Amino acid sequence: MSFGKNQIIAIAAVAVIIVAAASIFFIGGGEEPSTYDEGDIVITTNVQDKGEITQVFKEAPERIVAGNNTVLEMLLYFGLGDKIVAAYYDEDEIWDQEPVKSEYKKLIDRLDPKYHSSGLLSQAVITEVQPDLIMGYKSSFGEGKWAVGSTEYWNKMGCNVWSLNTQAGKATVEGMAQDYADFGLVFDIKDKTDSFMSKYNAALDKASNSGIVTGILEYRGAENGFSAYGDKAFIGQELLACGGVNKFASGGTVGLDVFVDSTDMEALVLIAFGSNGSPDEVAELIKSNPNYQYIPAVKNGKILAIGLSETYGGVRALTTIEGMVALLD
Amino acid sequence: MMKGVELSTLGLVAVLAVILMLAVITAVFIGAVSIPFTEVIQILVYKILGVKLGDFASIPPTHIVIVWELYAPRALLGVIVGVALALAGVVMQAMVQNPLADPYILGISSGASLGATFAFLMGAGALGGMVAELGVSFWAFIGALGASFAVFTLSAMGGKMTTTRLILSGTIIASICGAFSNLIVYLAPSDSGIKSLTFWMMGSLSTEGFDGLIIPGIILIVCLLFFFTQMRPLNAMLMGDEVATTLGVDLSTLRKVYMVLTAVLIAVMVSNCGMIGFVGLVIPHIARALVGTNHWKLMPVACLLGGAFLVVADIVARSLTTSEIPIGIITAIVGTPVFAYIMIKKSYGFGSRD
Repeated sequence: MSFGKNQIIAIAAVAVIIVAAASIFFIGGGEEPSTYDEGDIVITTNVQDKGEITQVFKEAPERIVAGNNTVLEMLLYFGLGDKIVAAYYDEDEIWDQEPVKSEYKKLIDRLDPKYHSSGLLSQAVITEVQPDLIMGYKSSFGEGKWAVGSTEYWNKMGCNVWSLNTQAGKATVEGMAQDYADFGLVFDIKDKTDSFMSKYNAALDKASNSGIVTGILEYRGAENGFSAYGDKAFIGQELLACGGVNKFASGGTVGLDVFVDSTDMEALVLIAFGSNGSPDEVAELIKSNPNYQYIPAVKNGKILAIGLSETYGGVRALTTIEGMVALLD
Repeated sequence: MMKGVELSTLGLVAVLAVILMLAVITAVFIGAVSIPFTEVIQILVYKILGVKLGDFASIPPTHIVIVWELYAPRALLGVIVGVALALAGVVMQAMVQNPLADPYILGISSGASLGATFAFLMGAGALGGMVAELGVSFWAFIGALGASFAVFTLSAMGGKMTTTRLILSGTIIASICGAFSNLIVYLAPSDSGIKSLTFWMMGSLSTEGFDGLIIPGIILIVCLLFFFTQMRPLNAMLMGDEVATTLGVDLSTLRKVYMVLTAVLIAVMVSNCGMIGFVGLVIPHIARALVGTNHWKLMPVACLLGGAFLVVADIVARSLTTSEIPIGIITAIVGTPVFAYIMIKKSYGFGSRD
């Protein structure tokens, strides 16, 4: 068999175009219009495979799958623990505040270990529990291959999907407020969620708007320096709302040399995660290092040490904002 | 093949075909969710023939969904991908006359990784419009094909495209793609995106429904039909360029055609399933140890072996825990000792059978 060069190029180009076009056709996106009746609750959420979509709740969900610690703690905090039928990405220490702590213990005692994982649960396992709502990261609702299933699949199964604003691209205080407003409507607990947001806003109102230069840094170990949380992160937005100035507004990596040279950093929000130690341990590490004594925040002890879970818009945001207001006072 | 034992190739093909069928059947009822075998049969008969056997009404609807929408398509996808990887491995190893060649040497894996990294971490949504709605699979496919095109172009620049230039070009493009992937990871705002990307890099046969099998199935059938007509040129390639040319094989043209088809085949598979390594590299060697290097025997045996191996590996991957182990881990853990055993127990040359 022999081909001319032009024929080869033509064959290859046609093959590519056909396959690519077919792939686009089959993968495709775009939201299909939802139908809803008066009295239904409609929320907007952002998911990996469909982008921004609406989900319609005709009644409060009764079989919920919690897809990360933030969501899990929200459900437990607001007394919805008995509706949880499965939990995945439960990878952080649960909040040690009540009622979350005791509700979590009840959940663990009740839940079959097959439906509880610090990693991802398979789509088949989650299908088995017949959820009517899955709340997880935006990336949980992808093409089913590296997530818990596509949005289309779950909606066809009569299950809504929901990724909180603060975990899906609207990581702002307003986004968080919308999350709690939606949460209150969907679960018919508006009084509880309004009360929570009132406490949060009351704490925020006490901010002195001092304009203190503050770093928000996650400690990554002596070899790796820090990872900075910029203005686009939720906790960066909280800092702005308190009137602070983010020293590392665009985020990124902060080497130990840059950290040492931060002689204008008057306050530090220090985030501990993983094997680097607890927040208190990491704070002690920083405070006891003589190289860091030129940094005003370290020298004057103006450090707020928190865990990673405190940086999201879950129920821990209440204690985080209180701590941040006190730090910037 | 064990010393002193001759296997009829047809007999081996028949045995492998039976093993493949048994693996597919097993894959439909084994997984993280236990479904009785009788229920699986009832569900399959109902869905395929429309006949309700036995006490069909007592079958939980979730079991019907799991068997028909999740497990059955997944088993078939395992066959398709396993056959594709093995086929591509056989062709690549003959084409470049290198036993270390695998389907990913054309820069496909690195390009697909770059595309997927972009989609997961920067967000296809960053580009807006219709492009925002395209999934990870699309970007992985574009990345794979783009990298392959770059490898072809680079290997042909400044001289004739030889196997050495091809392999070196693949290394160069892989390095560039890897660097950009790492840059995106470094700049990424999303830790959960990194997690998803990590799982993608380890491969998965997870799929929903049969729609996702159409494109990979069609591409595979086209490639199988074509390469099964290319046994003679592939055998000739193994003998070296000079001998092949003497036998009338148009090496330059055929290599280009083989590369284009292999690149499209693997790009489609990678974009659907992520990176499933080891199958394309080792299965051809195991097949070669069983039947020798004659492609008339090697290709069907390798294809059946690849399909069966991947389906069995997937059964293991999703049965051990409720959160699936990425299949790339299983293929490496299971396949490596088998490959080592064959290498130790049977001595054979890449180009001949002793």
